[in-house]
Amino acid sequence: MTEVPVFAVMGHPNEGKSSVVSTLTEDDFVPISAVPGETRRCVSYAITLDGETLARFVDTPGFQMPVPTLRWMKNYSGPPGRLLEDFIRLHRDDPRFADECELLRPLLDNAGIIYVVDGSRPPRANDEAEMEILRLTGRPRMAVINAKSDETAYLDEWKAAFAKTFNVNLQFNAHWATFRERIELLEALRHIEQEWGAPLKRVVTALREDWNGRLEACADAILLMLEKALTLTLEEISRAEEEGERQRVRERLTAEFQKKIARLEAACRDELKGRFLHNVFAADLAAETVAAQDLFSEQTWEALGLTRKQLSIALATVGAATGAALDVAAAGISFGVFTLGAGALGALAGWTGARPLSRLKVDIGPFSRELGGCRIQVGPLKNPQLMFVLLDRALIYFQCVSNWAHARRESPTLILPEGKQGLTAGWDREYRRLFESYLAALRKGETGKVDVLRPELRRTLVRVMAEEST
Amino acid sequence: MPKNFQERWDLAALADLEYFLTRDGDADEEEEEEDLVVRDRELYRGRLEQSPPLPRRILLRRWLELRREAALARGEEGFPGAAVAAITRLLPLLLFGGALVSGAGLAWGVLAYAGARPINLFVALLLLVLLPFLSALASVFLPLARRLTGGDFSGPVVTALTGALFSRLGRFLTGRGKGRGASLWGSLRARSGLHAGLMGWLVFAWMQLAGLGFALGLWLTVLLRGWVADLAFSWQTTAQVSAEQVYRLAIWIAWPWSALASPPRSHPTLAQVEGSRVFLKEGLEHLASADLQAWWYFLLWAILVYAFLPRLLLLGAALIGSARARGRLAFTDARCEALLRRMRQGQMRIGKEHATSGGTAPLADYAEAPPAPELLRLRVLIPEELLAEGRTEAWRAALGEQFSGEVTGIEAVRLDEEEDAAVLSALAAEPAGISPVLVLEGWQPCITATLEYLKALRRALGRERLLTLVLVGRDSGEGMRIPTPAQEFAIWRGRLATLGDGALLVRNWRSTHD
Repeated sequence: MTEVPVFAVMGHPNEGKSSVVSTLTEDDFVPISAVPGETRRCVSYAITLDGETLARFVDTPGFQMPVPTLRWMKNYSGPPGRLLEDFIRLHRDDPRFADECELLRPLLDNAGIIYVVDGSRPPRANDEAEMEILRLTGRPRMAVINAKSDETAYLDEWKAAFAKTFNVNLQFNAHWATFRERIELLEALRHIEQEWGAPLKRVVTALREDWNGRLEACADAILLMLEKALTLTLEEISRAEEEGERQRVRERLTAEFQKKIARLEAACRDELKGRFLHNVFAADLAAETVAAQDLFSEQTWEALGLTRKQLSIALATVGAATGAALDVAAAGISFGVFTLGAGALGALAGWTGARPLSRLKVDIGPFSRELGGCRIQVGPLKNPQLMFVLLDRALIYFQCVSNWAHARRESPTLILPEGKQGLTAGWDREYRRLFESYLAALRKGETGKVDVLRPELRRTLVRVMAEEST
Repeated sequence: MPKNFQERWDLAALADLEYFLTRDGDADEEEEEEDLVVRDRELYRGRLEQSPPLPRRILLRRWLELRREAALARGEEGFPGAAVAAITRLLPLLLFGGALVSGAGLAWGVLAYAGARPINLFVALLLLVLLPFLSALASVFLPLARRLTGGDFSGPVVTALTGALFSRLGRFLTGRGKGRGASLWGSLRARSGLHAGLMGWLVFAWMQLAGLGFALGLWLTVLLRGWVADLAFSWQTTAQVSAEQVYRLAIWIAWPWSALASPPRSHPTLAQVEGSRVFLKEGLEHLASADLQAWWYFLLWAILVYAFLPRLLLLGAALIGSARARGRLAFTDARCEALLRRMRQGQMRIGKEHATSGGTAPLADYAEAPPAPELLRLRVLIPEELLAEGRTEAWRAALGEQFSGEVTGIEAVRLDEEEDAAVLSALAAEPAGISPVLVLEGWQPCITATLEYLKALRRALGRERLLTLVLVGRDSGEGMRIPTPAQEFAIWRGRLATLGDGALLVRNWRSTHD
């Protein structure tokens, strides 16, 4: 028996063996193809902890000659322990059996078997031959139903077929499996061979700890992004006397401000993606999700953030509420910002203290004369709605990236329900108040209070993310 | 309607036939396939149907003309046939001209003589006579080998060589690259096998033409140099060879033309042979010029008879062989069969009437009365798991409609040569008029075992008997099958192409018309 459990992932061609390996090992570099028979060589993928290999999964070619192979094995009269060795020795020079020799090779090294079938199709004679071959090898084995479509009419047939050959079988959709389902599969493997119980338990424990570590790292990344975005300020002295020139400066600063916020979001997303070992999945793939919409788009503000009522309370909490601002907030979903100034420019005008930019000019008049010009400032954004929109976007991205199986290579599509589609609107009041206090502390520059709040914020985010990712 | 149909199959026409058949073969979608049926049936009924029916090769040749015409009318250009025709016109000229210049160059070099030392006779004979003669002899082995292997070059040696080549190439290719390479190789084998006879003779003729040009270049140069310049040949050897022995060798070589000329015009006399021997130590002054020049006539005769004449004869043989190969073109491969079936077979529809499509002219425009449909007789092999629950009769009816034919028998098979041995041998004994059809599920991957089974079927049926493979899709839920999705069908076709079986027709299941 090998010290490190090794599992050969076997089956008929095009049943999703590579997908199962990819999702189990969180490796999106595992080649997956719609064309059957692309895997011609066994490739081993490992789960490691601090450089130590805890378990291996071997992606194998599919069976190409199951019936003749089974016939040979049934007619075999040599010592049973040498069945595989003799089969490979006698067939290795026959190109027709090249894939059979290759896929059975890991079993010579005492690998266990994960037999993968597509449960959306009926079992056929070839499948029966394959299962019988695996039974004759005498290796510990488990069957996995990896349904490639929603068809469930054949599940009972498959389960009945497995009953003759496999002690354990379970459904595992390699393209949709969550962390919890991966753990379930690993837990099930513990039961197919007693000696693998302890090492596989270690694997499960290590994976759980690693998962918690990822959640904490993601929470930190989101908090860092929020802190930078909510304190971001851009300013410039305009020496021009004409209103038109000052307007141009304002527009330029606004555009730059938007870019900087977008960069902060992108950095946060990269961090989240990296934590979940995604190389193929890209943020720009998320074209269909609300998270992929522009932060300053009207659609984003309609879909994410707080409801009107929640926002009114939040404004009071963070102390940014003037009578006028409350009126505006109550009047329009998006704080009225999209009607004030045609899009993002108007939005930013609204956020700089809930006043249009035209009023800023009055405020900064004396100060600007002192410097020989006008000081034009964009940010920091004090509107609590922005914080909750940013939070929602980050959490949606997290949801997508943490639940995105590594076998999935298509563009992500996340369909959200009508109305407020983010998470924050549905939070407990306690959670929201915590973040509102955080925003208020940031506004006032109370760094001590921010430091005190941060651990609690992280715990809250970890709790929220743990619920979303299992 | 063109009155003067071309009826000769040349390489250009074959290239265009391949082009149009390949285009038709790429029509995977069901609608496209139906369009082909309508188009070819209309062409046949409107322009090609005659009594008695046209022979297959003439029918196909006329169909090709009509397809070309139609494509040209649509503004399409650049058919491969035109390029092939240009190549077949230009290449022989280039080969002949190039070889002529090469031969002249070689002879010019060998006959370099400035009076200091005579030309070595043995070297001249080796390069100007023996070398071209041996190359002509070697070229004869090509058609001989072809005849001995029956046109099948996939013997153990060739297979080992190509296998080794592919295994080396395979190191640089991914799984998909390998698959595509194997498909391409299989398609080439399947298609080129159909015209291998004609192509082989054509290449052989080009080889002979080049050889002829080379020999002519040699002969003309030897003649010209001897005519306008002073040439002197001598022989020398370290071995114990006497002048008498060299003389006898000359007589033996000159035997073929000895009846046409006499010494010294045919070969040097014994005295001239003795007089042209050189011992370098003794110098050249004592040698008589007439003796040294005597070999010139001999050399001219030798080149003419041993270099030029064999090539001329082989060229004649190649042209005759090419004409015979052209006459033997059978056009019995799967794609031609499918085309002929589309043309000759009436399309029967049973059920609800369909509105006529706007763009297609009704058949009545071309034919006055619908002909009685010619029913195909089918022997169908179906995996036994598909025949479960007494579905045999349902399959019989569905297949009859799919093929507009009569299912004479349905055999349950296990897709394993050993287990289906009885079925295969019964199939082999059946008359050629019954078309074997194998039904497989297209949603399953095409594995090696499937290919091996198809090879076994081919062995049972013989090389040229048409075998139709129908790929059915999943069960629609009411016991009826849907077509195999286009992507899976294309994957199957790619994999099946690796077989290189030109008589294997692959078709998708058509959805049932209600």
